[in-house]
Amino acid sequence: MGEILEAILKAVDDVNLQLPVDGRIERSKAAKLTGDDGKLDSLGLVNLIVAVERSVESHLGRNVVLTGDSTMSQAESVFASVNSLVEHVEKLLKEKEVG
Amino acid sequence: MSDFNLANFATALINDSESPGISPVEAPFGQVLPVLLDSSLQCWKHSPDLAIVWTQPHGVVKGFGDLLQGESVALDDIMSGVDTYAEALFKMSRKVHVVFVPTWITPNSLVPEGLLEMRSTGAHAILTQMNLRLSDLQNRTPSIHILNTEKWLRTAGKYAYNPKLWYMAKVPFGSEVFREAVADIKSAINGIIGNARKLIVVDLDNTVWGGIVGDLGWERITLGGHDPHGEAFADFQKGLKLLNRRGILLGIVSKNEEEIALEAINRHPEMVLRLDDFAGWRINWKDKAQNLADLVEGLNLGMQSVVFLDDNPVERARIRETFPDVLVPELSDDPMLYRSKLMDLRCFNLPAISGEDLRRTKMYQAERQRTGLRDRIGSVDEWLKSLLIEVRVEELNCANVGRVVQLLNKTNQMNLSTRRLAEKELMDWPQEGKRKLWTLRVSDKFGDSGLTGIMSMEWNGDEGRIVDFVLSCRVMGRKVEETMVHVLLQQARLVSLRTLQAEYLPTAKNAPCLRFLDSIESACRNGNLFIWDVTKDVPLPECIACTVVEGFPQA
Repeated sequence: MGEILEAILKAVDDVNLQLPVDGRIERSKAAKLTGDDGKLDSLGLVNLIVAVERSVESHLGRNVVLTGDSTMSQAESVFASVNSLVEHVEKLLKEKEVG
Repeated sequence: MSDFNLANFATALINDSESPGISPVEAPFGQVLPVLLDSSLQCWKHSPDLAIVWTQPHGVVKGFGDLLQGESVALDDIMSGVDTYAEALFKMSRKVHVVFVPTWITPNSLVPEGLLEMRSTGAHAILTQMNLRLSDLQNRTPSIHILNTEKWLRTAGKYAYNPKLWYMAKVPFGSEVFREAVADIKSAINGIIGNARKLIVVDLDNTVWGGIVGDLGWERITLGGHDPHGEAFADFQKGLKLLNRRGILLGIVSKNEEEIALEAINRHPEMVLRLDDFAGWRINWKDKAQNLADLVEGLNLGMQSVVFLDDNPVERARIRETFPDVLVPELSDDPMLYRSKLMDLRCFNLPAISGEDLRRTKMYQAERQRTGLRDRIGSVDEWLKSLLIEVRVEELNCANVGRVVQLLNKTNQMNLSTRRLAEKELMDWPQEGKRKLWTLRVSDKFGDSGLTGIMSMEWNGDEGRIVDFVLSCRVMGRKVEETMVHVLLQQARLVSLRTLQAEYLPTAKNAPCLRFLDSIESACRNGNLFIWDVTKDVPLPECIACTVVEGFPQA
């Protein structure tokens, strides 16, 4: 999970460049992403999805799709925080291995 | 203004820390033509300084959109769509000082790549023609500038497009593209307002040639030939020469025996740059910071005009610490990357090149000759007389306005009010009320320094006010300033003024203007206000021959 966390934090770094200086996501596992305490609006979430997919591919050499039904149907919980996103990406990658 | 979601681009503009800062106002999404044509919309209420109109070709030219769907569309119909859009841009351009229009590009996913696309009926070939047609706008008005989108996409590489961004948020480009766009826009703004860098100062050993010339002799330095490094150094020199031909001055600061270094420059057959290409040099064993200061002062420039290129990181650090205003890029350890590093610099961006830009190095060479003469002659007055200085005064007109705008917007030291105007504003100004603006061309026996002075006046009743008093540092200190005062007072008498005043507006850089005004005995000073009794003449300096264009008083 360490590698996945690192890949997602790198994506957070990219997304932060597209956020106002005073509205950036904290670089930690516990950081909130969406929802009442989150920093991301709808465009920010799109930017994050694209950034995470790109980061996982370039740093882990793996493809993950975060726009499929299994993710978007639970978007509120998957993207609630960095931690929940890490867990979800790990689950998707494991499903691909098994599948 | 755009037909796609600009929010990521707007954030990139806000977040970029380079000056100038930009506060974007986003026009209503997807309503490009209405926004261009309707001044009453809310987005125009802020009186923006500049407009960025970034569209997709199929979003504003219907015929092109049909072409992308495989329909057969006449080229004339597509071009007619381009002309309609261009006309709307032209009309809108009057509302702002500057308009930036990125060239059109189509994402790979819209067009199947292949041999057909570059045929005359293919999408890419037609898009090229559309962009060329759009760029004709730059010939109609100087306030519209077309920017090269393809360069941004090339730099962003495989992250230039992501279809998911489009489908989920109507954002056609990745964030790297927007960041490149912001960098180019800021570079363009700096060029337009006169902040482009004007002087590149280079080291010699291992910077413009490989090896230490003092150790090897000029015959054995690495330059040109079939050697990859030699070719790279020669290409780097070609890059410097290209910039020099656009009016960027070149200088040398090198720790070397001058004689040996100059011999290499003059004699090596593969040298692209010769001594005539340099406006000045300091080649000795002194501290490079001191040498740079001497060189820059001798060229009458400020450190904010300078780029310093040196292979030695210690020397680079020295200059950075001593002169924070000097741009000191990190040169790669590999000279094969020098040329591309040079071409990637955005600090030389200019909206236009004037004849004077092209002659600038020769003007500095002539200045070296003048200085040499001064050293021989001794007395300043005798020296000035020996120069046979001629000053030609004429009113602002369509032929000289380009150079006047350039001079007005970049001159800092001898500048009374530091007004900055775009070309249209400048041409409109004398038309409103009782106003006149004149230009001065200065030449002497060594050459023509070009259009180097601007003065303007407005009046009401019998009281006049000098609005602009601008003189290029190139000709300061040769009694041209006194000539300007003489001519202004003559003109004031022509329109029956009683007094003429000049209000000095201080900036960080225009203290020389205050010192000059203070030196004029005939002016009465009250704080920063200088007032002349128009009936009292300020004589034309003896060393100046003044010629006036008809319609203006003889000096």
